[in-house]
Amino acid sequence: MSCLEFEKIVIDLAHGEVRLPDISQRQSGLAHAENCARCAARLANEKALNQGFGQLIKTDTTLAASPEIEATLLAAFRNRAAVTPVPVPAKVLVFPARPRFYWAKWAMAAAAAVLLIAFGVARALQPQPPDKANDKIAQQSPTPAPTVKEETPAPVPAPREQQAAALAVSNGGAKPKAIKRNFVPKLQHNPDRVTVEVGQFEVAEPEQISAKDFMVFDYAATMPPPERSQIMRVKFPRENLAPLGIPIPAQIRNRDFINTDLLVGSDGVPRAIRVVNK
Amino acid sequence: MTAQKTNEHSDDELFRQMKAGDEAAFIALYRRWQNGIYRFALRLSGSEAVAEDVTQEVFMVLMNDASRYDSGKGSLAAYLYGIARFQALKRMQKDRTMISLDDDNWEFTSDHLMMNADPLLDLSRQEMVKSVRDAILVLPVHYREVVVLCELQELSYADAANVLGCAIGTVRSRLHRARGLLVDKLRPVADQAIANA
Repeated sequence: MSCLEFEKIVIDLAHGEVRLPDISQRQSGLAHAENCARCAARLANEKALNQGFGQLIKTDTTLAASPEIEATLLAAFRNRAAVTPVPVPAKVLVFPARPRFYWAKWAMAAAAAVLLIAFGVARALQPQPPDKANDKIAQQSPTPAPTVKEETPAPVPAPREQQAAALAVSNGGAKPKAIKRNFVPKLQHNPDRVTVEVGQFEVAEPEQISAKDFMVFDYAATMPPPERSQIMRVKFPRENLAPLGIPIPAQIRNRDFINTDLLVGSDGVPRAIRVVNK
Repeated sequence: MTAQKTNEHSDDELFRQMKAGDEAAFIALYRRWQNGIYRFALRLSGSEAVAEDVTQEVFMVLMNDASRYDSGKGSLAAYLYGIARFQALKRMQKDRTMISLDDDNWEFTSDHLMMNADPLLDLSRQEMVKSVRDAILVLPVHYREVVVLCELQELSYADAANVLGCAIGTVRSRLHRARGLLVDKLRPVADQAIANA
């Protein structure tokens, strides 16, 4: 073994078997040190240093953090355990367990759909006189309600009765079969109820767009109301809906999937839910 | 209950139980590792206050951010020392109270291989301990942490490399240089001890 090779192993050699388990390497290192005064001195230095470390370790064995730290950590652990959410709280929710991105993704998709619808509606309505527009709307076949509904402007939504009357008059007194739904949902922050102001609505089944059926999620009660919101239609497996405490009408109770409307804020967080009876 | 858990269960078992909310498992882990973490932080910073803060912070992180530990990437000890190192360096950087040896011009020469007659062996225990402690504390941080981990906390090179986030070869070379600096630093003390004898 050369001095250079010895230099590479000298620290491990000074530690002995623990750091240098290879017996042959150890023996050849020690043999080299016997024949080389410089390397022998080097090894002695390293062993002395190890001795110093050993003494330091021995002296420090009594050192420990103060007992207050354990008490503090224990209290923190208990406090943490107390606030850790447990599976499905009473009334609502599976949602906090899901990442917010889940809803953000839906919200983005909904926003895109809404833009398309708004664009289409604006184009369809712009060139036509109001009477024709109403006729056209009234003649539309009663298609199922769109999955996502949202619209913003409609500054002062008329009361439901006035709108119904206006539409009825414009339609020759006949009750229109259906019109395209056009909500202006506006969340009124209320821990018990959410109020949705309605712009245009489906006259054929006005009770279905009533805001009174919305149930506010527990966690949303303490959230500030969003600047804007939208309604998304979502199918929920019945067994997931039941623990939320939402009454499911008897006629749809046997379905595997229940249609619901979710009121989703512009931040992507759903605020309230209602069951759609269809 | 807690004391029993300390001896009966492996780190990973205790960690799993702690994650599931088992308070006794958390305390068992704390009692198993707090001494090592505290001493590591103390030796690295030279400050009891820093060591206490670091110890507390390490276990707060373990408690609140348990998902960050991956047993496939290394031992729990290495993970805890890694947090402790980060916290200690952060505090030290903030406090800026430590003085480091300037090692810019330091080179390993043949002089380092020369030995004065019986150099450190004759130091009295107390003198040796104090000298070694002081010498370690004035090492540049990247050498100090290697010495503390490998020589005082007795971690393997692999674990030390895991804590430091570097290669084992880097740990070895840093340790080599650090020990050379310590020998240099301690030689006058050893000479003085010999002269006084």
